[in-house]
Amino acid sequence: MKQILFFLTLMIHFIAVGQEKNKAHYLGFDVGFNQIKEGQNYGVVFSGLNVGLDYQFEWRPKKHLFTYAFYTSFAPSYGIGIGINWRLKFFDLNYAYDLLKSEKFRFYLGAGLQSDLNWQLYPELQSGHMLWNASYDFSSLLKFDFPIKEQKFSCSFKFVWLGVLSRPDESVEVHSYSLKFSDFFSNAYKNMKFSHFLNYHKFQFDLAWNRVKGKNFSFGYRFEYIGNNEVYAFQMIQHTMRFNWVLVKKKKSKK
Amino acid sequence: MNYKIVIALSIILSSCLKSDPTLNEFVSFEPQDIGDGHTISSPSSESVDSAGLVSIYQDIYNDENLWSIRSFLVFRNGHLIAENYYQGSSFREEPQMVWSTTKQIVGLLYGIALNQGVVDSLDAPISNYFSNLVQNHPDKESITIRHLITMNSGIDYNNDGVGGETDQLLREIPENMIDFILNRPMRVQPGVEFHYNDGDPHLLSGVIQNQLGIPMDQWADTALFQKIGFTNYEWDRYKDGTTFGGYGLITTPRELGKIGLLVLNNGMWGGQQLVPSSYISEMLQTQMVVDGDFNFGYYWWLDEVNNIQFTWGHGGQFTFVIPDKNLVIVSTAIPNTQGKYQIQANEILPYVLRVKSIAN
Repeated sequence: MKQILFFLTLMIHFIAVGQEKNKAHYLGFDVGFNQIKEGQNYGVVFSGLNVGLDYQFEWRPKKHLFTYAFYTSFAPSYGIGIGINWRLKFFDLNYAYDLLKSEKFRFYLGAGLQSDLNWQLYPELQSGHMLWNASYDFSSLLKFDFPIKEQKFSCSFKFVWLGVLSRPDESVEVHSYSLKFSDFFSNAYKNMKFSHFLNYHKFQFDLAWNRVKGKNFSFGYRFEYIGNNEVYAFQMIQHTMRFNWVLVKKKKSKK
Repeated sequence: MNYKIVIALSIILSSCLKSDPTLNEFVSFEPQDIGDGHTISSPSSESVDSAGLVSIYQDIYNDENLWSIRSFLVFRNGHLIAENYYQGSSFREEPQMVWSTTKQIVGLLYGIALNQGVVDSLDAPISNYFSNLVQNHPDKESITIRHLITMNSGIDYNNDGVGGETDQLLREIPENMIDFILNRPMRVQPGVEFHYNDGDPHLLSGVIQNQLGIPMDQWADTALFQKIGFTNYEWDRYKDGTTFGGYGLITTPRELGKIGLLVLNNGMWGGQQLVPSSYISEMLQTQMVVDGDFNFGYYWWLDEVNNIQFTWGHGGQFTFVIPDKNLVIVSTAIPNTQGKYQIQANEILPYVLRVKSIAN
């Protein structure tokens, strides 16, 4: 609960400071295709629809780029029976620096810190048992902004190098949780273990058409992969089409 | 534009995950001696058609309805003659939930409880064993041990569904399991209607605990399990310390084989009569006629057409006793599947009958 309050406060703070110059807020939703292969669910692949909501704050002072994002999604899927994945990224904080001396092109290099909880329920295969893949990740970020015919496009690539990861105990059969709301978090953040890119593979690719034809609307595609090398491996693939609207944006005034 | 869509779809489809096979390909059923007390033999030594058995094991592997099967073991003349673990050999010794198979073991234990005088008789009212029951639960005054052991106590206890009584116990919501069950209303008078539920065997566990002052699993360990070498197990208790009677046993297929062999031998083990043969005989007779293919003894399921008695746990945990052919067959599966994803008795029974038919 403390975590939730902290990040709600953080979000409100960003909205407040977002009234300043070079800052923008985006609100968006996405729809896509989601696949999860959970070793503790017998390695059966569950595929289905993914529907998500996100909020993003962006601040670009000169050649710097700061972003904060909150994301949640719900993915009903089917494999052997029904599966449900609920995803929650409390925070996705990034900083990057523009390496180019160009007005048209920007090439940012930076790093980020994210929380990522994937909580799953397979009522027909696992009864009331919960499965999860929860992590705090440290990633590198590459972002390229480029124009095509007066339109703004960007692509970015995030790669997780280090983190801490929580997975359910192998003996999940003897557990049955109370299904209290707090259990979603307390169980999923137990027994966190250090992970790195050799045993925990996670990357994200984004392609976006920003402010389509000058409107406060952006459209993009995201591909994400999560995988680990544990005995009971977890793998997830998401392809999503993203739709974002600018909530607040003020251009930098020229003196 | 179309080629862009094709490219996009190609990218998506080329990055799809593929499911692992849930079962390992069948290679051999040759049993291993792991020093757990089982004697090992071969099909041919016990007059079972070996080629026919290979075909049965292979067909089980190929049967899509049995995608969740974990083990299939055949015992003949007291010896283990075939075993295969379709999800890896670790399940030879790795215990798993056997859910309601626990009930049949409670049924067996009550033969010992009667013999030892822990309970007076099956027709004794449970008010003899739960203090203040008459004052606090007068509607349950006429319930007897027999009602509990044949699932017709009349107590309104439901195993299924979110919010059902079993769900509440699994989530450990009530403080006291026995009080929780006794506080349930009656659905009908005792003895009127068969109603399969976990509450009745949980109460039987409470009876033994009240009589002996120790949890039922602790008593069972010395009264039965140690004597038959049934050692690779755990038996869960509720948070108030009462052993679950309707489920809660965690064990292996080979250990279940010992239960099957004990029943096959009419309660005799190593020259000792551990459970009275008269009780075993009663336990395996129809006590309740149930809608469907099978009838019910003292918690044991009965296929009277084929003269087979068996344990049946959620997900597909079975121990078949086939007295005609001196056979015991154990089959276990993933324990937490629900609904149509569970292995049902009539899905595994054809293979059991095939084994029976090749045992000469």
